[in-house]
Amino acid sequence: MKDSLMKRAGCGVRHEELFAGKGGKMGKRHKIAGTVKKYTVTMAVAGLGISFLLPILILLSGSLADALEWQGRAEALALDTEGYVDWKWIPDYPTLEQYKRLLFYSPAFLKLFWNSVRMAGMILAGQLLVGIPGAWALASFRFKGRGALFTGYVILMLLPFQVTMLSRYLVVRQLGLLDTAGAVTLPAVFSTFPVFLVYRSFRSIPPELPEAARIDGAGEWRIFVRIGIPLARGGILAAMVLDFLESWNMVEEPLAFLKDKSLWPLSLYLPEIGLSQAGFSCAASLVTICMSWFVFRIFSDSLEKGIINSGL
Amino acid sequence: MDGKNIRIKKRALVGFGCFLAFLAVCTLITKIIYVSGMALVTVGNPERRSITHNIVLQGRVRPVQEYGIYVRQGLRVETIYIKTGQRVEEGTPLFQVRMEDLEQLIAYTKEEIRYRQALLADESGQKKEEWQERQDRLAGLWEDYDMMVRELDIAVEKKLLAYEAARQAREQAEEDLLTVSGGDGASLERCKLAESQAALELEEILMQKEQRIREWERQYGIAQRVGYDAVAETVSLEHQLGQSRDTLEVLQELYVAEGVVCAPEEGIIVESRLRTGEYTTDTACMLFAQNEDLGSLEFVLDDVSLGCLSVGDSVDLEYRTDSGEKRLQEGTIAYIESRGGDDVARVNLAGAQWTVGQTVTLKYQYVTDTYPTVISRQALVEENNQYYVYVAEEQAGFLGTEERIRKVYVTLTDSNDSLAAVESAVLGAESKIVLQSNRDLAEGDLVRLLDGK
Repeated sequence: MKDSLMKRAGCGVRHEELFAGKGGKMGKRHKIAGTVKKYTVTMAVAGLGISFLLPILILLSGSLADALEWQGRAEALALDTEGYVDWKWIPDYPTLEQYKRLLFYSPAFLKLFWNSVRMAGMILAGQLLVGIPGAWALASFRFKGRGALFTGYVILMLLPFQVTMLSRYLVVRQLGLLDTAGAVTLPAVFSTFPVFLVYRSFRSIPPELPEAARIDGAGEWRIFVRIGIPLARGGILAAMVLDFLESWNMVEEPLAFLKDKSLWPLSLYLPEIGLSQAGFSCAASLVTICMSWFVFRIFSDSLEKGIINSGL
Repeated sequence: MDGKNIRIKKRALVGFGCFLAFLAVCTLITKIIYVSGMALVTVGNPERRSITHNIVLQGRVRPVQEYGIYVRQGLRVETIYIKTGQRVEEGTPLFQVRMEDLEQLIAYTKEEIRYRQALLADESGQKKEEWQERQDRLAGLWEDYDMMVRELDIAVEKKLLAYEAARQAREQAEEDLLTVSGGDGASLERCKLAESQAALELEEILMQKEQRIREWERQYGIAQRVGYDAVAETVSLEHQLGQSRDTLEVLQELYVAEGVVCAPEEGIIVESRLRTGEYTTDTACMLFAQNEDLGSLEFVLDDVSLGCLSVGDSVDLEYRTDSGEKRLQEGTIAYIESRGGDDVARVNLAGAQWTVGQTVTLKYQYVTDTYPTVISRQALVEENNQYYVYVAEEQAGFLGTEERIRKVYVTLTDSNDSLAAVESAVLGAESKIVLQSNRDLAEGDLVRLLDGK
């Protein structure tokens, strides 16, 4: 088959010899160059990948070292002198003591972990109830001021938290929600970013589909639930994943609105751990990262598709 | 590819579920460990109130004059024949001591006498020699003194004569100078020089005499003292020997009486300080009065009752009649005095119901002024003569509001069995003071309040 193809293409023996590598010099050079290029690119990309993984590797290595070993390593940091941290990738005296302490003797860490899970869950649930229908309304319905409203959404989405913090604080205080979980979850439920993301997914649905459904007698709710959500599932999941990552790692909102430390999320607990407990801090950080990793691993395909569809 | 992806996703989902389940189990275990480390405490608040002191003292009706009956200490009491308040005649048996103890004590006393006698004999011989040596030394010193004084006097006499001669020569030279014939200035100068030289020598010899006499006196004083210590020791030994002999005599008399101690004369036994089976002490075994003339009611006060009772206070006196009936009567504190290291309160007796030796109970309730900080006595802990309490303080943290223990040192002002008035700049009306705990506490411990808060 290959021979006949080569003949029809007009390639002679000479070409064949070259590309079959039967003693042709030019062919060999090309092959070597291609291989070198391939390996060079692979090494460069691998190197970049490893450098991205470095912080995780440092956390893993640090979490297996005990307090004494950390004392020797981080002396330069602790004494605030000129010097270097003496780092070893494999500790001299590896131990699981930090994990044992974290998982069985740190009720504060676990309590705040579940605080974060609860907060993230409430925010996602709220956004599903509020943001998704909102995005559908913006995408499907034609009403006066729709463009301006959407522009307003985009502007709000672009504003950093520091700009809207004061107004949020005043509203939350007026509602009597200050120093409660609602002070953090309620503003996040009405966040504009997921609306924007899911709007793009809803807009990618051909308008003929809902039109056809209307003709068939389907109500708006039915169209939304039976057509809109399934077709924009990727975008919805992408929005949920990104929102989860944002709410899992949020720092400013709880710091501004929550005085009671027992309501804090996990992201505020980690900075409270001092240098004297650096190993413990590494272990805590790794466990914290696990949640994000699991969510990303489960929904990575949807996230990819959703981002593509949304045009971000 | 889709199927593979779905499988990977399913595994990731299962892994995520396991991860959350594992953390839920860890949360439960952590909570159990955390709570099991907390002590369970009962707390109370300080109050502003007074403290009531219930004074209860035991006393006796004392006669006008009483005497002590003494017996050698170290004898075990076998039988007591009388009771307090009983009237006795001369020779009435009071109590009996164990014969075996008496025999042992007599043997011991005899041994003691023998030992002291031997010591004295030995000491006497030695001391006699020392004494003789002393006397000889003193005599020798006197001889030296006489010889020394004689020599010095002769020397002084010589110097004095030389001085006199020089002075006369000087006077003569002065006279010659004043007259027309004989005499010149140089001769007068020579005479003056000789006179001053003679005066110096005289002064020197007088000083020497003084020094030598002083030195002799010092040596004499030393020689004198050596003897006195020896004499003092001997006198002491002789005195001790005399005492042992007296004791032996008393013990032998008691032995002849088969260990029975009798009343020295007619009278009333006011107080008996003996108990069967116990040993006699060096204080009076019994107190005895010659007649029934009533003296007063006395109570020995402790520190608390001394602070509460004052002269003129009206107290309740509880006593039993002959028929055993309990009665209550009012009395007044007549005066409070210090006697032999004790503080004693006296109540004047009124009425015909009292008898010498009768036991009376004094009851008095004293209410102090209001103290600003009064806590339960059981909250107070003493350490190295300092008092402190544990206070539970609220502390907000990651696990919500927790109760943490703090040690607060206080100064004890007043207390009774159940309450204590303290001074502290830290304690307030809202302070939660730990009254009871199911385990030992330390500063910084987390605790749980028993009332469920």
